[in-house]
Amino acid sequence: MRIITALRFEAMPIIEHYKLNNESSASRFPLYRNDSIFLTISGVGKENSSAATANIHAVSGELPQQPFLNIGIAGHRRPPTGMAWIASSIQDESTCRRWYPPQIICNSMARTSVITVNQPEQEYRHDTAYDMEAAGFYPIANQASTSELVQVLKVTSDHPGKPASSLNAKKISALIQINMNNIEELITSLQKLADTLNIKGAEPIHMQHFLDRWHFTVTQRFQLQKVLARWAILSPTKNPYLLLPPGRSNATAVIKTLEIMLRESPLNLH
Amino acid sequence: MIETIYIENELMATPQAQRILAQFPTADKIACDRYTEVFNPKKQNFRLQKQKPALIIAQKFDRHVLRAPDDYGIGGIHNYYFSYMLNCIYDCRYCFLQGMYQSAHYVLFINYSDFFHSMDSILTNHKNENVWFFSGYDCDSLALDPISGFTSHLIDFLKYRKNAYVELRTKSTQIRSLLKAPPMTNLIVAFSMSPTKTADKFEHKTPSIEKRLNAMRKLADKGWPIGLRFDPLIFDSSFEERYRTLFAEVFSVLSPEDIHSVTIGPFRMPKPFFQKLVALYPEEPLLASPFQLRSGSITYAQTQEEQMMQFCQHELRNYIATNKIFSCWTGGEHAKAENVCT
Repeated sequence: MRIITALRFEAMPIIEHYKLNNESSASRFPLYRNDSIFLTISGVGKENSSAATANIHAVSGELPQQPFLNIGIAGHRRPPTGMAWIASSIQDESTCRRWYPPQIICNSMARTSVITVNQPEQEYRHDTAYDMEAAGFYPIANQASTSELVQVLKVTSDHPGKPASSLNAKKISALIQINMNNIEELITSLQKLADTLNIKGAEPIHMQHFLDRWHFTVTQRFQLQKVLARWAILSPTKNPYLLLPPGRSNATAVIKTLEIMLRESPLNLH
Repeated sequence: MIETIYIENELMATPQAQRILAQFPTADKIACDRYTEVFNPKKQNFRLQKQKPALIIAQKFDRHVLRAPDDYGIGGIHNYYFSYMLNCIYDCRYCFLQGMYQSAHYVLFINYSDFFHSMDSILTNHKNENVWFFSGYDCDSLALDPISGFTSHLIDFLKYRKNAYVELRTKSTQIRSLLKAPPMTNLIVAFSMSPTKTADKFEHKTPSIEKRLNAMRKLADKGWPIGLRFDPLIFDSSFEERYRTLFAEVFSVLSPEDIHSVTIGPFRMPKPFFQKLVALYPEEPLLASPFQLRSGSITYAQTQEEQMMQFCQHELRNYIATNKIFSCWTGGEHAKAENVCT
């Protein structure tokens, strides 16, 4: 899980809740982490958010299919403050580009469109959340992961009856803090989704025996891996190495024989 | 069932869209300019989206009706297909849509009149000839009918166009709009069928074979012509026993007079789609079956495929006349011996 917040005050409740350790507070984008969660603080604005998202992806090992979550405060035409929203669409006000994070997580949080602005919104013209980072975060995170795992959570901090100028560090932290249950629920759901993608095919069985006995080129090694993986799915209890008839003199013959044996074995799919 | 609905801005105020939206009062409604902003952009995962697909209400501006692939047909000379929906509410592990699309959302094109207009243009080009239009290539034709209302519109269209023949291919039991209407000889309801165990194992979220048979019986009782589609044939060691039982089951419920046509086709899929399926479901035994690459498609070895097809053709001839049996794949030698529609 990779979390990006703009402000330290937004990050603090999350850091405390997940007991994240400070990895590099002196760098441009301070980094906190535990075993499964990385959090970075981007600073305000979409350019900062883009850069911090790219950075957290890099420093966390550039693993594919990891969940990315942008958490922060936002203005909204609709009160009350403290209301948590998941972004159903994100629009960059300056370029009019738009993204639609797929909504496949079941939870009780409301959905809203988000418009990312360059300056704090004061007019709240549309029934939408106004933030300053989502449109920077989303396209970069979506390059690093599948879009279902890239989400934006915003908490209403200001509205026409309560302007952003009334906010301070303590109030911002409190707005995030009161939504920790929502945040935790979303993080758990995203991690579960990511786990779905980590389902691997069967490991090719007894591969090392084959590699020790015959010489396989890189391509042949790949072919062997494929046929042994299929073997593991279809005949997990049988050892292909022991069943291989004697007299296979080279890797090509071994692969071909394995494929024939697999094709001629009884196939029970039901 | 559907918790998120995307809708193109231009359609928001249309009565048809409003009627659909009204059926989902609690769903989140999200406006977009074009469905392509949501459907099929890069970096989407079909398997994840399949957990909770959204409905996308859209309109299609062109290519409403297309010429059918050469191996697609049931005896007609002029074969076309159309897709007023993209994707399917079911989750069949062998389905090529998983390989074709990045998104699992359901796209519903509600400008039905444009589809009918295109069909009319094609009919004009084939005056006094029968023309076949197939629905069910990119979707299940009936599964979302209570929401789409498409079948009622189609029935109205076909009433006055006797040379237009339509096949609605489905695994669904959503047949209410058909039961309400008088039967038509030019609208074939074609049910995809697999042996019960195969359906239970690989056709997730579909009505059971028993329920499909009940739906067929109801339609046949009303006089609707029924199509049987044994496609794809899925091989394993109990293939013959499974399909023999299935055919017996089907023809204990339906008589040959109820049947318009029967098609059989082996599992086949374009290689890139198949590779994507394996990446999505690496643990799936069906996809680890011994397939071969032939004519750009992943399919069974030719000899095996021919044995499967011949077995099914032979068994089916116990129940139904040969001229009603068609095969849906020209990749094997069997194609030369039977009714193959190109």
